[in-house]
Amino acid sequence: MAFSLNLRSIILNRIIRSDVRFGFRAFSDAADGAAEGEEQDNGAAVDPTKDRTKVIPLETSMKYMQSKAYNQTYGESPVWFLYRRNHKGGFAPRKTRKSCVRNGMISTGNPCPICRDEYLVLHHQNTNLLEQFISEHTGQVLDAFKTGLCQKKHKELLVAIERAWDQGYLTYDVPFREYDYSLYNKNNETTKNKV
Amino acid sequence: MSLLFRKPTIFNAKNVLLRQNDVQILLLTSKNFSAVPTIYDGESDPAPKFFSSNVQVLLKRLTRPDFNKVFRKRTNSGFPVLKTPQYKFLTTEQLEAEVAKSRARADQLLQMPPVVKVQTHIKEVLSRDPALIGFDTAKYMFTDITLGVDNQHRIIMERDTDGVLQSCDPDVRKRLNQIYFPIKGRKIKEPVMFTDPERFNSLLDREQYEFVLDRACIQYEPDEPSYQKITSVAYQHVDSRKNYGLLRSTRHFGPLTFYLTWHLSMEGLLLELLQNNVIREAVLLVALRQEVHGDVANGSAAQGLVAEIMNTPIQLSKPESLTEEDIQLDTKCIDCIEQYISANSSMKSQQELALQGFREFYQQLIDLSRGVRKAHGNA
Repeated sequence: MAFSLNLRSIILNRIIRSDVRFGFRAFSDAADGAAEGEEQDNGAAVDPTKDRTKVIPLETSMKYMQSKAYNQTYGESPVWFLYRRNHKGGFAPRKTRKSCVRNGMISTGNPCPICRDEYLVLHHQNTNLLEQFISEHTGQVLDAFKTGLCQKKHKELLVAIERAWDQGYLTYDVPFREYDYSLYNKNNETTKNKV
Repeated sequence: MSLLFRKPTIFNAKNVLLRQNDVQILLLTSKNFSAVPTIYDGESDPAPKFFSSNVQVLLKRLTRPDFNKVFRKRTNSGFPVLKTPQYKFLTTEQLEAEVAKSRARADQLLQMPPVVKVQTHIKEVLSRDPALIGFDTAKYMFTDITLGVDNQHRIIMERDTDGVLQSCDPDVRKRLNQIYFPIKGRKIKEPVMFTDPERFNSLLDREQYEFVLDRACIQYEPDEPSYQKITSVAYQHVDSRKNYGLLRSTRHFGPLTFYLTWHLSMEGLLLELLQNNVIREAVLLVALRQEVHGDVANGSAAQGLVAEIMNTPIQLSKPESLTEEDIQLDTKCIDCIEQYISANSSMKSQQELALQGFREFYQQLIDLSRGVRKAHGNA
């Protein structure tokens, strides 16, 4: 009996200790994660939907683009299609806002189409997303005025599309090149000159 | 002891892992398409053959231009706003003039990229000035930017740090030409899709042949080795997958056919033509081989048929009714192809089967059109 009691106490002790350790760890982790600003003290108040410190891997984003959840949210139309900018007066300013994210948090009530959905990752391999920002009529990148992207994301988009074009992930209609046959058909040229 | 025992087990595990990796790599290579890039660098120059009017006519006809595909909607105008279309009422003469204009435009759009021998660079030294040795730490480049001179004949020279004034390498020439007289769409740095074999193969696997070839045309000169390597791999990929239809009625079909004929590997294309019941084009292909190599047994017969075939309209779809002249011409074509298959073909059994299939199909067509004519009381 004594032996079993002893054992039980040991086990209990272990559990309590590990619990304490775990608790301590969790606390320290939280402190590490938000070490930048003062806000980490009231870290419990952070809205997880507004937190943009987590980096979403490309694979997740590409999977998301094919998923049922994506289809339910956006349907067949591009991600910017139903987005409306908030602005004073009848005409929207020519430039969109500089950035929707400040200190890793969404800092606006109406974030742009890319910032509002954390699973949309601008990357040259994510062609399903990039295609939505290229005009099917002119083949050019749509203006931020039309898509409503913030300036930061628009710049990222331009870089991603340029990379995708360069690396062949996205195809486009190449400008036509007309050849001057007389430069290549050398035999013909010489005969012409002789005549 | 335990340590002693553990070590071999670890090694074994490693070995197993390594072996597994090897197997995976082997599988990958076998899955991937592998082609040996070739260039036109042998003794014989393809240019005189390619530019000869007979071959040009044959290649253009084999392209089988379909205006829906030639004038497809393109997004390379470079304008941010589209032009509004114009609708007009035209008289018959005006309409004919417009049709002729669009035919000329189609010819222009279908201009084939030239097939020429790969260039050889000869370094030409203009002067050696030992007095200039060490004049600077960098080379000096001199470019004649006079207007109206084409890129190939432009004078571009380099003064080396050891005082030698000489002509420069082709890639340096190309870069300087691009700086002073930029070609729209060409990059000074080679696109990654051409330099990285993995990306290039993925493009081919997605069957984006037209994009690859168009871009190669813009990026490289036709006599550059890298152009010929890229296009040859693309052509071989098309040939291995029998994707001829994707390049048909584009400007690249002619060079593709020429490439296959030049390397005597056009049997796959001939088979595809027979399977799609375009026997006349099959004869044209045989005539092309005769023009290029002159090794076809009944080559002169095929060449004789070419003139007759050229007078008939292009067969874009299955013919609905046949006239007696059509039937005569097609029976001649069948004989010609039969002789070719028995004498020259390296894919005999398949092509014979395809030809037999065509014969049966054609017999049905003949019966149908004769029956229709009889019913109308014309024959």
